[in-house]
Amino acid sequence: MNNIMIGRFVPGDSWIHRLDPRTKMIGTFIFIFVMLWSTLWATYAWSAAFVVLAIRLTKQPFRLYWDGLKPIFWLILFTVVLQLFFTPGTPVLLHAGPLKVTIPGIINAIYVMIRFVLIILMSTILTLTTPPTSIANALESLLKPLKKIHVPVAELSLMLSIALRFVPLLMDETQKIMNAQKSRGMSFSTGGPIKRAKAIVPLLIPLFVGALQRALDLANAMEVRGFQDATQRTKYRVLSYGSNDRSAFIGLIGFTIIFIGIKFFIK
Amino acid sequence: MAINFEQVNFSYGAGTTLAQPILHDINVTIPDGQVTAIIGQTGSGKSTFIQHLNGLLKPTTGRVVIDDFVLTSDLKEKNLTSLRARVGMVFQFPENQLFANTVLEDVMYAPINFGYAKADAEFAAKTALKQVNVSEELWDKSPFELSGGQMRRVAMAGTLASNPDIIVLDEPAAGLDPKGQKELLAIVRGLKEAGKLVVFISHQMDHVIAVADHVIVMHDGGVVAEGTPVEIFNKDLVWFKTVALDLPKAGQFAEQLRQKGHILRHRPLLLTELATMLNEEKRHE
Amino acid sequence: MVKAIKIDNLKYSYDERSLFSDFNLDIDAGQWVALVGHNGSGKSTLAKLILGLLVAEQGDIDVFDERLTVETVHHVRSKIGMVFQNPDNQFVGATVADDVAFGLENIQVESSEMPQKIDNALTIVGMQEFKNREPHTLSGGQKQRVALASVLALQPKIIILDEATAMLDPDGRATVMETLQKLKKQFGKELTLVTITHDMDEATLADRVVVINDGQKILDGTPAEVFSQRKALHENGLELPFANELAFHLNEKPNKYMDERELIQWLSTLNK
Repeated sequence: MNNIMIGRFVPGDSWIHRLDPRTKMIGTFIFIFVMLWSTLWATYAWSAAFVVLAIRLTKQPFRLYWDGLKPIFWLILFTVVLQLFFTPGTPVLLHAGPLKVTIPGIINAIYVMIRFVLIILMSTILTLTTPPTSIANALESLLKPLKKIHVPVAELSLMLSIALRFVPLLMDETQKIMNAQKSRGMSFSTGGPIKRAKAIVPLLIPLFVGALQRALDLANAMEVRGFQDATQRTKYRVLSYGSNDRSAFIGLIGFTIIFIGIKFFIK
Repeated sequence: MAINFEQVNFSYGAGTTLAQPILHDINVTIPDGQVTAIIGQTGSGKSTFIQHLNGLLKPTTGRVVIDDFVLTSDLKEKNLTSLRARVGMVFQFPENQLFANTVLEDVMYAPINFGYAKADAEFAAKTALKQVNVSEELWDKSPFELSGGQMRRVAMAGTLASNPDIIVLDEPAAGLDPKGQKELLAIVRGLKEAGKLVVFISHQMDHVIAVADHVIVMHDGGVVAEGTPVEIFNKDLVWFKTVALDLPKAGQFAEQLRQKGHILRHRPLLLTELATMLNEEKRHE
Repeated sequence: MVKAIKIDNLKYSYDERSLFSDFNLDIDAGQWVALVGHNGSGKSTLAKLILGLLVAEQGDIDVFDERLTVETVHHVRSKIGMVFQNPDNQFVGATVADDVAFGLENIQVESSEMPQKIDNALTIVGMQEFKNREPHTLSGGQKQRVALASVLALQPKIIILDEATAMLDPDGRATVMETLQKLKKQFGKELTLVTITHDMDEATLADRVVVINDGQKILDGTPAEVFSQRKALHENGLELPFANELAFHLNEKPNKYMDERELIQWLSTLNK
């Protein structure tokens, strides 16, 4: 029921699950950055192999990763089609006005698709193995240096974790309000576009009002429990790197070195 | 004009890998012109059950027949409007559904959606507001300026305004103080007197014994008992434990007396009954 | 006798209507006071005034001899814990443990000391097995017990429960009340408890009942004293607890105030 989480987290005990969330975030960024330099089938293959290894290490069925790709399917298709029909070059296979199917076009299309898929898969590894609040904690820790330029990292991070905690509740409430208004005859499926747009008001207003009331109540509760300055707080969940993280970083460096090696040697 | 559940089964996400069966083999009739209470512990399927009464949910297999309207799994959303005009549903904490600029506008929302002309909708709204004792001076105010109790009554009026024959209420007394609870029960009785078919979910057995004519007991997604409140509340205690329900307060009190060796002639369900029985004992001594 | 809370000449208006005018209330340390009134009587507003969430126009509020002012408000709050009515709107953490930790983080407890304090607080309310659960998997009663634990972890001298059971089902209400009774027994005079409610069966548990309507004190005394005023209670939108209403209807009544347990005992011995 209502399991549409933003990047669904699945609890588990794999090596990847146990990594520090910062390691996973940094790893995802590094992988994507490096992978985007890929121009040869060999580097794509190497990147794909790395992702497959990572997926195996999460000990989760591939079906879950496939589910992560499904929402992006149309976007991938759209980009692939663009590459397919609009890449200049020779030899040309089909020609119809501005549309041109060329061999370089086909190759580019395949490469674009692989890039998309690998990026999504890698991000899914992150969200599948890391609870949202750990991601928020990791972000707070990684963005700490920004405090020097007066970015309110502590406040933003607290806002993020509280907001995340309310996601399931807000989804439930949306369903309840929709049920209440549907019961009073609200319909999204009839009428012209203007009527349908107006139909959203009886859904949005109660949600907003509810959210505002919740914010007020929460603020009171937080104050009463001693909240004053977001920057003057200790932390219950302290992140610390372990030996697993060291191995993970070594693995990442290894991936990058071999990637660069392939690029230079197969040229 | 009764409601019939015929071999109804319901699962969330039926047909997918995440299917969650909730209701099993429901065969039950909700009688016309009476107040029926649906009771059962949290998770017994009561909310899922009542959402079949106005088509918010459709049976996965089986059918729900509401008067002459047949609800099956393949019915399209657009065909449900006529059902919802006849079955009004008041959810728990209904004040959360208020949205309009004025009280009157909010209460007119349902009638207008169901095709009333503006003047008729206004009249219907005013009638409904009077029915739930929301005074005229509040009609032009923003619903958000009202007290919690007033907001709840406005929300109820919002459902009554389309003049449904069947009214369903999910825990209508939740969060109300004693006075508010009394007023709520009076409204329910008023609906019955007006000839409506009323269904309500409640955790408060004292309310059930006060207004219900008929009781349906749910447990683990199925209907395990049906009858008048007196019949249900006279079942043995072991049964009550298995379905995780309580007796009305008077019954609980009498049970505690019985455990101390003071046994009454029969199980009282109302405070006045209990007092009368205790007084009669004294006279026989 | 040390006064836990002392309210003098309180004046407060809401929406241009006067709610409290010259309101006085003293609560002794270690007392369990039930503040009762129908919805809208002003009882919740009083709680917010005591905690400085609302500011009175006139009057003084002292908490354990410390005057509540703009400067002292944070220190005063450190002596009081409050559990609010809506179980979801006070649950800050992503899990039960995180929520209890929230208060500890605010007062800058060392990270290494937190797990123990969290465990202790959760054990008192019987929720330690739910430590890693997310709030949307908990019932209302469970969430309120977590709220109590979050408050207990800060070791307040006073706990105020503002209609903490109003949104719960009978089961949830019962578990919260059981937990409160256990708490009061465990901490005795060290804990001052103020329960704000409109449920008279809950009010029976207190040492003292204060009835409020329209910002005015209507009745103030022991449960025995207050529940003998059936007419006054009805006039103020309240009812008697079940046992007392029953006793009222009996031809042969007990000669003194009895709560439910005592009445059952009395009735059962009569029959033997």
